[in-house]
Amino acid sequence: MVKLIKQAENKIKHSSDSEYDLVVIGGGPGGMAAAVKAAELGVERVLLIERDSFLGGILPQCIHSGFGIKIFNSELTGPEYCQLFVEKVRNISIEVMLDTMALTLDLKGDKKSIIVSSRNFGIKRITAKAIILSLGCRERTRGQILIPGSRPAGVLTAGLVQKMVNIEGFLPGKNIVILGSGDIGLIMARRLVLEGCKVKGVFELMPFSTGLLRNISQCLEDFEIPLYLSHTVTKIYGDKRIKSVDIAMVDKNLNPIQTKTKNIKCDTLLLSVGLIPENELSKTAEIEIDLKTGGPAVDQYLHTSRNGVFACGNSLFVNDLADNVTEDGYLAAQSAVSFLNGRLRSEKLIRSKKLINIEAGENIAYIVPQKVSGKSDVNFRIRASIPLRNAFIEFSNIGLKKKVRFVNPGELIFAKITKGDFGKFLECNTKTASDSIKVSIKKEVQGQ
Amino acid sequence: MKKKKMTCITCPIGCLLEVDYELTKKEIISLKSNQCKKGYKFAQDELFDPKRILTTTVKINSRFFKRLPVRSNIPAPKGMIERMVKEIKKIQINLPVKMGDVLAINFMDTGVNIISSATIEQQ
Ligand SMILES: Cc1cc2nc3c(=O)[nH]c(=O)nc-3n(C[C@H](O)[C@H](O)[C@H](O)COP(=O)(O)OP(=O)(O)OC[C@H]3O[C@@H](n4cnc5c(N)ncnc54)[C@H](O)[C@@H]3O)c2cc1C
Ligand code: SF4
Repeated sequence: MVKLIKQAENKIKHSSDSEYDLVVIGGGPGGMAAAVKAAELGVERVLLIERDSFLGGILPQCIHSGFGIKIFNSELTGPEYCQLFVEKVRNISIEVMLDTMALTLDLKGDKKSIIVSSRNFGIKRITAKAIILSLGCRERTRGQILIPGSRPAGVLTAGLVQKMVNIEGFLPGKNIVILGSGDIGLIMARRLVLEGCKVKGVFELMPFSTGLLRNISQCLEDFEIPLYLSHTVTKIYGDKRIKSVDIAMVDKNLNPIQTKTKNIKCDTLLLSVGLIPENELSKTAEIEIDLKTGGPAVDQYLHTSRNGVFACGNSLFVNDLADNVTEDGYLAAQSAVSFLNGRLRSEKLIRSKKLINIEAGENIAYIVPQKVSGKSDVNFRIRASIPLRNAFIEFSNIGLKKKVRFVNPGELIFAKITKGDFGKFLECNTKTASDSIKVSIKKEVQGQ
Repeated sequence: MKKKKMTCITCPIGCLLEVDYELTKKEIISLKSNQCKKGYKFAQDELFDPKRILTTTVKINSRFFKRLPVRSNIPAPKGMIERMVKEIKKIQINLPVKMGDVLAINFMDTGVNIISSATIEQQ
């Protein structure tokens, strides 16, 4: 949706000087924020690499409103949020390389280097003193949830359909069944109804929706689209094109109840069954990945296990709000600047025994950062695994409890722990006790 | 007096509001469970004059882009959204177009303007 910016390409095509202070990989909201902030903080040579022909990542296809409430204090659409950042990128000295894919990170030598492949200048090695990864995420597909049946056309992921409808301008079908109640599925249910499709229902395996409550209200309830919790698709029918699906209720263990199956006719099945942080590139440099988030394990500075390599955005963990991604982009940039000024080192920090490990305990899907020094305040981002009312977040070993009125897997929880709180932990754990803090969400017992 | 529970959609927190109200007088008698004062405004609008921000796309003729994302400048009457989205398809766009450009004024007499959500400079 954005004018193609090609200023850097010509430069690089003709010069052998491809050494940068900071290279940011991924031109979504995370990468744009990181590049802009670094340039604002005075980093001289900043390069932003994006494999697509325009900046913005997922934003241009998210035409609905709901962006920017934190960062711009007004409710913007995805393309508007994108445009405002593209203008920031243009107005500051950042070099941008579009149509360029980062293939490998090579961190073995003294210098960090990135092998890129570009439509315009082929394969090239670029060196950098620091790197920020903001690679976004991918959608889980049919293969990952193993739906039995035939393999006809018309089984598509929701984000792909969003791109088809909002960018390419065509509809995937007319009679739609949506599996999964994540935000993308909910947003697309409304979008497809407005484009004249019939959405027969949104079916969610869990007994709760993983989408934001406001999306259930404004995307489903407004259009009287039914939401069936504890339901799943058990079989897909159709020869060339999908003709129908079997839907079954599931029991407490999420197993389909065979007697409660019904067949629903449809020509399209949309899958909104989760996102996975994109980290193929990170893996080429053996960056330590946290199995819970699916992204790099980081400290409070968003420093990965490799010295001078930082991570933010959906490749770090899947975010629900672009605003939060932008803030993490800023943080990654600030940390990269400290690193460039010689005030931050990772390898030592992360490998050191002195580091406090943060463990995801009861009712927590994941928590970021995974490692902290305890020497500064930390704003933890926590993803609950189930919805709970009147609960508290417990930080073991520092005896800290924070009350939360309502937690929901669809909404990220922020919990700030101060340097002072860590101090208590560090003092009592200097010699013997465990070097980790376990974080759990527990229900408040009534009457206590 | 009537009672209603509704999700405030003003921000991503999505408070579950509990409202007591008088329909004839268009008056809220009491409101519970809102975490901020915007919840009051939402309940007021939602009960007596519900509105939503409208977003959709319009066809454009550019070598690079096929659709232009558009929005209503302010929330539009909820009951009109579906009809408005159909009518918006008829709007003709001349490139270049800038974010915020007004494409239709007082669209279908709803009092809202339809504006461009993006900047597209190339033909
Ligand atoms: C359907 C949907 C609805 C949403 N609704 C809202 C909402 O209402 N409000 C809100 O605030 N947020 C919303 N979000 C969330 C928000 O849009 C995302 O969290 C945010 O865009 C993530 O930003 P990112 O920069 O991490 O990733 P992305 O936007 O995915 O950007 C990553 C970029 O990296 C590039 N890239 C990846 N690998 C490479 C490589 N090897 N080389 C070069 N480039 C590479 C990709 O091409 C991409 O452009 C929504 C998301 C979706 C999918
Ligand atoms: S009441 Fe306030 S905090 Fe709650 S959803 Fe509405 S705007 Fe957000």
